[in-house]
Amino acid sequence: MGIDVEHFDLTGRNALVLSAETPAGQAIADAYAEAGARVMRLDTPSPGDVGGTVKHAATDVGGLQILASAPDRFLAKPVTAITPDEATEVFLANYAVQFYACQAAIEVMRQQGNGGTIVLVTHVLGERGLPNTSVYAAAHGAVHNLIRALAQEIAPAGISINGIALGWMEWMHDRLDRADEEANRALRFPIIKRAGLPEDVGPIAVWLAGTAVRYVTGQIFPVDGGLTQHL
Amino acid sequence: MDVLETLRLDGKTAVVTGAGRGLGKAMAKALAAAGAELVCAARTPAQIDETVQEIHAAGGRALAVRTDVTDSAQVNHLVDACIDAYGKIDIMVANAGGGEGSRGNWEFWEYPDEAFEDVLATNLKSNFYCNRAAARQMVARGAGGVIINVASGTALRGNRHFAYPTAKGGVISLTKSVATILGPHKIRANVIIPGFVLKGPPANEREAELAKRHGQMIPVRRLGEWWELGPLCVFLASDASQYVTGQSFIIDGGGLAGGLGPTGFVPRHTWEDC
Repeated sequence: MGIDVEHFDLTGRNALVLSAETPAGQAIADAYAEAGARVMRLDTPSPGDVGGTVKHAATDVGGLQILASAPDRFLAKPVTAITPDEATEVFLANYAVQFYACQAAIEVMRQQGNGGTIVLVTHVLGERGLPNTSVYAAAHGAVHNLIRALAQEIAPAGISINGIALGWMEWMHDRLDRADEEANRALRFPIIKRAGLPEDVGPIAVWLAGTAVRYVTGQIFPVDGGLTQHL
Repeated sequence: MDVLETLRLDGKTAVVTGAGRGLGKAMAKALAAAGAELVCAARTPAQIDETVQEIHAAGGRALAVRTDVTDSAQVNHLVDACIDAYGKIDIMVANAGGGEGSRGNWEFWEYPDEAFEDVLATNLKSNFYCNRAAARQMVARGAGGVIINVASGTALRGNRHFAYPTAKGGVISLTKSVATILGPHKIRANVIIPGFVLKGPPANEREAELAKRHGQMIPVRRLGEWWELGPLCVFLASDASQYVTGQSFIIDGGGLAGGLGPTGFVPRHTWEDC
């Protein structure tokens, strides 16, 4: 079979984008729409509401073939200063939301019986550490392994799941204190010497939802300008 | 069994390549201190003689065999020398290598064949020769054995001096395959991946200052020291690691765990909602 643009054409498919209010979520929703999908955009629900929200949305649009989810709640604090409430909230916002979204989407996709695609947006801090990011990095590490574990579990149902791990993106500027010389050096660290942009995220989400990647599952793809690959 | 007892290497024989200086010398001395009988190999006789003398002075047993590890016949001879001296080989530490040849000032697209091949010969083919020669004897004897390769943290990231990390990446991969192939023969293979580790005490104040400054790039705020490879090597050579094979052991002061920014970079954020 030849490779052509049809592999990226999402016409006739329903995509639910959770956390469409985040820059990455918005970029993915826009890209899915441009690729022809019928897109339902939802802001990040509270963790307890995620399952019901996803199921209602799937019913409203008449089925669900693609779920993309991009919640992002950053916290940078010295480990001893993090309160139990903060730790819980960061874990719920970054990990539990993704987990419940997958749970609901998988149930819907299984009932439909013709497979599906899940794309979770995460962060390269899920693979590496930095000071002050203990809870955030650990929550994203949990998302990385959620992807690997679910890939095994849902492959028999024809559902694939992959991750997009963001590096330093331009909308994360408030995480970098520009007055700090070390922070400015952090931005010079990627091989591609700039912060990531929304338009860096949409295309890979489309690729991951297209028909050319049926043999790709359980993977996490950094979109980080080479940040994690240089010495 | 007492856990410290499992680390003893009494009655074991070990070959260490690149044992004339730096990390190889430190590992050879550590294995000898744990009770192993050593064959120390390197290209420079004066250096391995010194290692052997230091092992003797500490009450250990060792001999020096001049070896160029880029020549498979010499590597075979090295392992034969261990058999001749001690009757067997239990441990092969394929440590010899070096990044110097990788540092020519060429653009990538002008990098010469010979330079690349030299680096591969010193840093990858040498490990294959050592692993193969040791495996041949270990399999024939049927009593198992341990292979320890030494790679480099540079193999796990991109680097302008690409030939050396490329070869060392091959060593990591070689180790996994060797572990898989030789597992049924009770031969374990693991790879040590040093980060920035000093090869010895700084020779002068300028070197000490450079090391100090370089150390600030690393989470533990210092470079590694040569002798710190010794305990890891003993662990991997001993029964303390008897179920460990095919694995990579990074010893880098945390350098590779971070790397999303300079060491001094600490994300800051005031999050008022919580």
